[in-house]
Amino acid sequence: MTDDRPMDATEHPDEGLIHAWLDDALSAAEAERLAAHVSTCAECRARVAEARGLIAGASRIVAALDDVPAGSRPGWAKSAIAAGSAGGAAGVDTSEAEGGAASVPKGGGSLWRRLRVTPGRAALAATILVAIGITLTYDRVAIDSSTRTTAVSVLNPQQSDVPAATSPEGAASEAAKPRDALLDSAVAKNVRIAQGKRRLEPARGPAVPAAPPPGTAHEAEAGAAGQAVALGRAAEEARRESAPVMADRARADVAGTAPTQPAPRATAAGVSEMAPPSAPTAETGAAVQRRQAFDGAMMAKTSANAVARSCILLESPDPDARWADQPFPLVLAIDAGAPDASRNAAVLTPSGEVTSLRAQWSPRGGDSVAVLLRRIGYSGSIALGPESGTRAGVAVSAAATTQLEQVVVSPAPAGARAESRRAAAPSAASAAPPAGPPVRQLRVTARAVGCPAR
Amino acid sequence: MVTPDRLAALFNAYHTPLVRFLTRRLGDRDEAEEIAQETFVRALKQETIASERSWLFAVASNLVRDEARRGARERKRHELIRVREEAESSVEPGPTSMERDEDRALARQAIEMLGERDREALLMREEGLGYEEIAEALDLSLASVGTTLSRARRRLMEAYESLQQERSAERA
Repeated sequence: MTDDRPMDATEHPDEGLIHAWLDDALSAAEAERLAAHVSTCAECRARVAEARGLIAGASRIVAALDDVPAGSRPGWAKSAIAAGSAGGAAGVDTSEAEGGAASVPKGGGSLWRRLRVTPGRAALAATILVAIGITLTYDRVAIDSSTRTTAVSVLNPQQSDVPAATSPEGAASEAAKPRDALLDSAVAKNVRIAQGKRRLEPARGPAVPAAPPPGTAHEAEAGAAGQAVALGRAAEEARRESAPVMADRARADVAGTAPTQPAPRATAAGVSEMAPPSAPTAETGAAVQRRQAFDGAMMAKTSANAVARSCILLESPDPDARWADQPFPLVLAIDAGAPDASRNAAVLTPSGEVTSLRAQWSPRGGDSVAVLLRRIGYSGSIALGPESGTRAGVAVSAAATTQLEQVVVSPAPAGARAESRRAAAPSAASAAPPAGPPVRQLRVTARAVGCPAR
Repeated sequence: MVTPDRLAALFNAYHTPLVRFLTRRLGDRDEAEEIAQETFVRALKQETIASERSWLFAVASNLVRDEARRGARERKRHELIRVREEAESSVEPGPTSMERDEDRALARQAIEMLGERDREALLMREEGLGYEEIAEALDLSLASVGTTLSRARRRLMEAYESLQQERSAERA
């Protein structure tokens, strides 16, 4: 930021400045001044906590927009990428631009989308037509050749020891070779087009900011909000890195590195386009076999790594401990799936009765786990440490005015909060902090148990 | 003039975030890809581009506005296509997909309730653009980016909460 004017110790930073601070967009000096102020101002600490909630909540809402029907990159785009890779045209920080995210392919798609004509599909159609034409030509040549050979053999029996390639079977075999190569090429291209359907992955970049430390002192609101944001970030990362996505990404990498990509060429307009239909003839059935073998291996690996449905008993030594509206102890019945991926879980009573709660079991780094509450009207989470027989952790939950489970904001209605914010304007230095009641943190332990009978 | 190689590098780096930004902005993936393609074609015609990412996002935003001015007819056509696609793809949706659909619909409504500048600043920030890049792309002063973003986030949250409460009241 260019606004480096000194901030008076009694002057409260405006909301924009707080957001800029949390977005790490302030200069070091300005950030230091703001941190010093926040460390001594309870009102501003509450506003910082609220701003964190707003940033995390807005990121989550924006990320929800990503769940749209996936299209595919246009053919010219693929060629452009190939040109960039082949030509070594680097110089752009991809990781920054992608926000650390990569496109992953997505199967399926509607009939309408599948029928949509794109340059890539037009090229595929042309390739198939040419392949069919060449195949028919080869067949015709083979038939003519075998007819002539047979006629020669009949007319000249002494020449019957002609090479096998000129016999009818040999001619057919020779003709089959280029035909199979072309068909393999067409099939492989079809597979590549089908696998090329892309799904946009939610951005990771600034979605949940790595906020600078707000100071030496932390109030319960700030701590709870920070923990909620951290849990939300961990859960979101775990969800994005789930096994199917990794498998698709790996498959995309293989497809991208397989020697099947037609060489791009620049048009007069300078935009790369698909290579002429004859280019893919370099591709053979081996590429398809490799891809199929890889797919099979990935599927086998995925199924081999999957774990069965399991149950975790959650207990709390705290009195009147509840998660949302359900008293502890509770049983999480975690769906089967990849062990390192987020999995949905039913929340049961120890006797096996289904409660109104749902949860998401999200493994994090270091064998810790975040359990996110799925219950309309409540927000909550449980952070569990590494397993050593049992896991120890902390559970939080509260009735929410927002259903965003990672967000901890004031439970007052939006209008009332707006009023309280106006009352807490910088000029009103003596106004009371607008923060809501602190979220109660419960100690919990988790251990694996047999699942109750359904 | 931007060379094809340079364009390919730009495309490789920025196509995905640009399409994601445009998809979030428009709610239509096909339209987003078309505008992204047009953005890169325009980049090809540029002599030089100083700040590539902010330039691309600024041009894409301008194209979105131009597209909006071309009338509602085209958008209706896309909406029909989208509805048809959703109808075709809605085979045995599970409860989680229903929840996602609901979240997405609320998010779409909430984001549409923001002002144009607030919305674009927020979506650009979510794509990783820095304050300087956002200021350049939207022709804002650097000092006002934080204010714009804080306002956008607050209004988005309030709109989302309001829509949720309406939805809950309808069900009750």
